[in-house]
Amino acid sequence: MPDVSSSAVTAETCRMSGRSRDDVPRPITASEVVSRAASGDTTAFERIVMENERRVLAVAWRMLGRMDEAEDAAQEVFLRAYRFLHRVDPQKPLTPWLIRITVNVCHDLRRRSRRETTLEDEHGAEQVLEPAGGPDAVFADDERRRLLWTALDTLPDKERAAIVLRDLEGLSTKEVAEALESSPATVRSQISSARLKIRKVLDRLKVQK
Amino acid sequence: MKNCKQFEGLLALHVENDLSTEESAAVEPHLAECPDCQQDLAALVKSQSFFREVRGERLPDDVARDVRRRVLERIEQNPGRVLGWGIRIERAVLAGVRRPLAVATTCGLAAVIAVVWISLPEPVAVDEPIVAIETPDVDDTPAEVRPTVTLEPVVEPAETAVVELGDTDRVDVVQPAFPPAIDWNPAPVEIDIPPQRTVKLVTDNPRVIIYWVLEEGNEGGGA
Repeated sequence: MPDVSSSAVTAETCRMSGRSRDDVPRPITASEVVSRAASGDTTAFERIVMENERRVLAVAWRMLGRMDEAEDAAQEVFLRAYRFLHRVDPQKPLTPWLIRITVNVCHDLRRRSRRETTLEDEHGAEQVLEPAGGPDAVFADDERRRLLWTALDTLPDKERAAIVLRDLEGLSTKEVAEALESSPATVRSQISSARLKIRKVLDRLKVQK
Repeated sequence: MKNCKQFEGLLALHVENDLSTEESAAVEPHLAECPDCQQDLAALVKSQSFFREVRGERLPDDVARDVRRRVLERIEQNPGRVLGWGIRIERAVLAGVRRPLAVATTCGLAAVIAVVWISLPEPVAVDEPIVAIETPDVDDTPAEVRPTVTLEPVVEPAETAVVELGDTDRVDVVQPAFPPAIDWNPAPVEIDIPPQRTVKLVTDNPRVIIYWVLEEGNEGGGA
């Protein structure tokens, strides 16, 4: 029995098995998965979710600093993806597009959260500094981690997105530029500025400790 | 050094090897001889170590699974609601455009319509008025009308009889008037009506005939 899961179904394999090339099931390519999902195939869409859920969730978590908010953001990202998948070129990789949606969703959530915080402040509510990450997160040094989130929180949205994707997600400058629909030069400038700011904030926070 | 400021941004990129070869060639000689920039770079390396620690974190599996379950539940429960009407129409249109057969059919149909349109005969220009109103000849022969009017006899008004019922009560009873004597052959009364002329206008529509009544001395009579 030939390995039908292999993408290389040669004429020789077909001859040996006594089947024509058309009889052999062909593995589905990434572009076909996108096309099928765009036409409403839920199984194909589930495959897209499975392949990208960790990356989307990680970006959202690092953008928002809270796991519960990151879960909501990731859910919104995939629902938006389901809605607008037909606009995507199936020949292009899907991940940068999903990261772009994630960044946009996180910006929206942060803006909303800021508005609500402002309203709470106006009503005299006590402002509580949320611990970074969720209860499931296991981290070597929670204090250092909290310092990093606090420093990240001081950055403008675009610099924060650039530094999260570059320094936390490990994307290249070109990939970050693609995900943020920006130029590599702009992204480099944002990353440089963000690193300098974070260094200063961390210095200040550590001095305060 | 006085030009350390211009290297600040480059150092922030140098710390993660984000500089091009040319940029590195410019930064490294300065860095080798500038203690302030060396100190800045060391501080940057230290702050970047925070990122390196977080970078290695792994998300719990159940969180990702939970997100997937929630997303698929929403879609399977009501896919139409997730999409909305606008997106559904957009998808249907795009799906049609992306199918080669649909594209070929559309192009063929457009070509047939174009050929038929071109082969249609040109409309002939006619020098005729767009609207023609035909006015038939009017019979303007005067017609004298002298009608005879018969006057009906005038009916007398009813009389009211009063019936005395007692000292206190008094009821008025209306009795019908006694029918007057009718002269069934009254003498004809002639009223002098000035002579009139009637003009009959016949239109294209056989159901529409206009009569124009003209009184002598009053030319503006009505139809």
